[in-house]
Amino acid sequence: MKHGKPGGIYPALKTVRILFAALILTGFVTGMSISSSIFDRTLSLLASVQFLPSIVRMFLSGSAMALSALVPLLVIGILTILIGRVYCSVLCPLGILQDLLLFLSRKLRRRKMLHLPSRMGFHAALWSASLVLAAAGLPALFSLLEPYAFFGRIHRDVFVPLTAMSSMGIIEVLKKFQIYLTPVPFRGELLAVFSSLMLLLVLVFLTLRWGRWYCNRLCPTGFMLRLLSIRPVFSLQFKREECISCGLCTRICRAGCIDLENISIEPGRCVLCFDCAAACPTGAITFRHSRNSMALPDISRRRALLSAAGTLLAAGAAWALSPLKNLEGSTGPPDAETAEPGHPVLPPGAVSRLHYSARCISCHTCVASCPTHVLQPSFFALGLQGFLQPVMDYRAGYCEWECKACSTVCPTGAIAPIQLDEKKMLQTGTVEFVQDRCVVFTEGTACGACAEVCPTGAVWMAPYQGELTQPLTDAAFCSGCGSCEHACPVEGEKAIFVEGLEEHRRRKEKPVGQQEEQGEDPSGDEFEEFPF
Amino acid sequence: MDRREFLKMLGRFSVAAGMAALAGGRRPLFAQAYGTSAWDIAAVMGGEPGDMFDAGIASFGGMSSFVKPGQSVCIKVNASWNAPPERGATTSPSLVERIVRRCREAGASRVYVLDHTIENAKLAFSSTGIEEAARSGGAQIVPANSKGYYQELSVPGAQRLQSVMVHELLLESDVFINVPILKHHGSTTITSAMKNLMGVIWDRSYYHANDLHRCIAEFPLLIKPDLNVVDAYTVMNSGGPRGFYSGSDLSVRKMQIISPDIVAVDAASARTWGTEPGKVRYIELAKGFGLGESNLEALRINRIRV
Repeated sequence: MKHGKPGGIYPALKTVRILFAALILTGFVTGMSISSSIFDRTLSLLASVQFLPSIVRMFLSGSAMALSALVPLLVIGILTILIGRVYCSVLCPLGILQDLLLFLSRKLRRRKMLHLPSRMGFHAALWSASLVLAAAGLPALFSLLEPYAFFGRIHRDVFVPLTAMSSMGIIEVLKKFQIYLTPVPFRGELLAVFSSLMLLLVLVFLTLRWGRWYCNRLCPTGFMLRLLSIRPVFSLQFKREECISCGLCTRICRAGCIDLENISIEPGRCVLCFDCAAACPTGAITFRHSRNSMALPDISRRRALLSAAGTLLAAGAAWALSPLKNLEGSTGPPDAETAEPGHPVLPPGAVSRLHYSARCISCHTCVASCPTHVLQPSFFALGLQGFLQPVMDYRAGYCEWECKACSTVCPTGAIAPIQLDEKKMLQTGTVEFVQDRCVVFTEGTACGACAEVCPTGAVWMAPYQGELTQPLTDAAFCSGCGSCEHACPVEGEKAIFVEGLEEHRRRKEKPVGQQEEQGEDPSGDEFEEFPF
Repeated sequence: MDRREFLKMLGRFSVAAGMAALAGGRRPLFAQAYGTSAWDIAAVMGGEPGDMFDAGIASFGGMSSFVKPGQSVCIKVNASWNAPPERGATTSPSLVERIVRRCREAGASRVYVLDHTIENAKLAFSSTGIEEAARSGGAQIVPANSKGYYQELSVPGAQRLQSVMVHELLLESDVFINVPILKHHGSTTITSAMKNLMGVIWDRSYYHANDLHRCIAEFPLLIKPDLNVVDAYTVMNSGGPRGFYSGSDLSVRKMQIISPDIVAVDAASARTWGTEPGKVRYIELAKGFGLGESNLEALRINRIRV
């Protein structure tokens, strides 16, 4: 029998994987960092093919969005059944990040990997628990573990502050040469930065110690793909007769799935990095049609599938009993009493708190794409069921009238896609004015910062004393954009602010003629004579 | 900024570095006297913004009276809103382009088009058409929305605006040209030249909370533009300064008011909009500070029809 050529095509396959992964990671990072249409579009596309966000979109949103999720899900599903978890190596940004960490650590110091036990039972139990909890209305565990959301938070809370800090330094240098850039300010809570940094450090530790441990113990996407690839059609396998038991493959396997005692590879955990096949000195590991020689997980496929089915049933039951199954928003008239003091404002397109909280996985892609930084991660502003979900923060910014970036990038449909015209007619909150705090009344001087910026005419200036004007409001026209609250110069509690609504409404359009102050000769265009 | 912009800037890097080395002296903070012109104000009517500017600036001996070869110029436009120029909320791009071009022709080494916008700077500079206009005229846009570019200065003789953070380009440039658009303003009645200078400082909120009119009038005690060009082509009669997205009450006046005297252009602006200079408190305060003349009857006005 002919000896397999050492290496063979596998170094080339490995290079292809690395190039592809680098391209995808670059797409994510540039898309989340740079606001420019090409990068934004790339980000939208990449986010829309993420596995678990697509599943949320498929099952919890209207038919058009469900259809948009079907194609990536089918492609990823069929690919996984055919060749295994290639998704985890080339499309999952958290997986690519771990590979990058491993690459860097190997440059510094080669740490040996070990064969790890399968522990599919643990993986399954964690997956079941997070899914059932999420369906019952507590998505925190699911959000924390979901790899795309994890990556999004690392980017937003760790990478963005770092780049912002360094860009401030770069700006200082460039301005010496009279080059003026639009800076990248970071506005956000330190708590978010701290918590994401801690989670990142944990991930770094796990990765450097045990490779793709996260992916085979904790990751909910990893578990689902693992189920699909317990016995894929093609997989990496040993040619027993070629193996010299040198152990090189086990020492470099990032998934810890090569069992040298039994000379077998567990395909459900293999992420198809091709390291082993490329490194094998005798060419004993090849990618080919699966035989029975494969290692199977420590629980049988039947048991794994049964437990998964059981979990889905339980999750379905929890969902059916939970109040969150509001698919298209309420059909009845909105409750007039929904505006409570201090109520958070949802991003336009979130439909309602129930709709939003049931779908948002806290990936913070919307936060990264928001040009005015008004969308900020929250902790418990939306209650336990809204843990980490972004809300509008009018201290940090205002909602730009001509923008719907968050609804474009949201991969789960938590912020449903809306047209700009639609968005302009939405009401996400209503304006409240407190005269006792307003500069016009406390100082007796002109201000009008709120009315200056109001895009809808919900706030306007009306005659008060002589030439002095005072703000008046009509909440019916208010979109809830928070421009007025952001602009109000009053320190501490603002004199004008937006109260969030539980559920979006439609606002009224202010008639153009109904405008307040006019010059003495407002009509007409060109003068006959110069007015002075 | 996108990558292409960045690469372009890197391309200009060496040129800029040379300029920086050459740039020695600083401009005095007060407007310079430009010889003797027969006119205090040039008021132009009836043409397109660019042509009206050419006709008006001739009254002061052309752009070369203000910009000497090798000087750097800072142009403060109104690019505050993410709105198309048709809304009448921002300076006409064709006017910006013409002024930049004339500065270049007069030998300006660098021309900056600056504004600390109220709405998102990147979106606003682009949708107002001012980014493209500045580029095609030969200027660099400066979205002044980063605190790192500001320097704190004390304002001589001011009561409320005792110190203010000013964009450093204003201090470093040799010539400062103010190019506002005339509009209604909900709390100060009109916004024109003096009010436009709120876009060269860092903290607008301070003005609003500390006697807005007085702060507006006190700022020129620190820095007065060398030239003011008021764009009164499309004038917003109400709903200002932003204007409603659904359309505002606009008049196409096809006018322009040009003067080195910031109080005089504001007085003429008030009349053009439809009120009296005496009814706008910051104009009267500024006149009281000796910053300029608001009595239109006492001013020598060159009225030009194009």
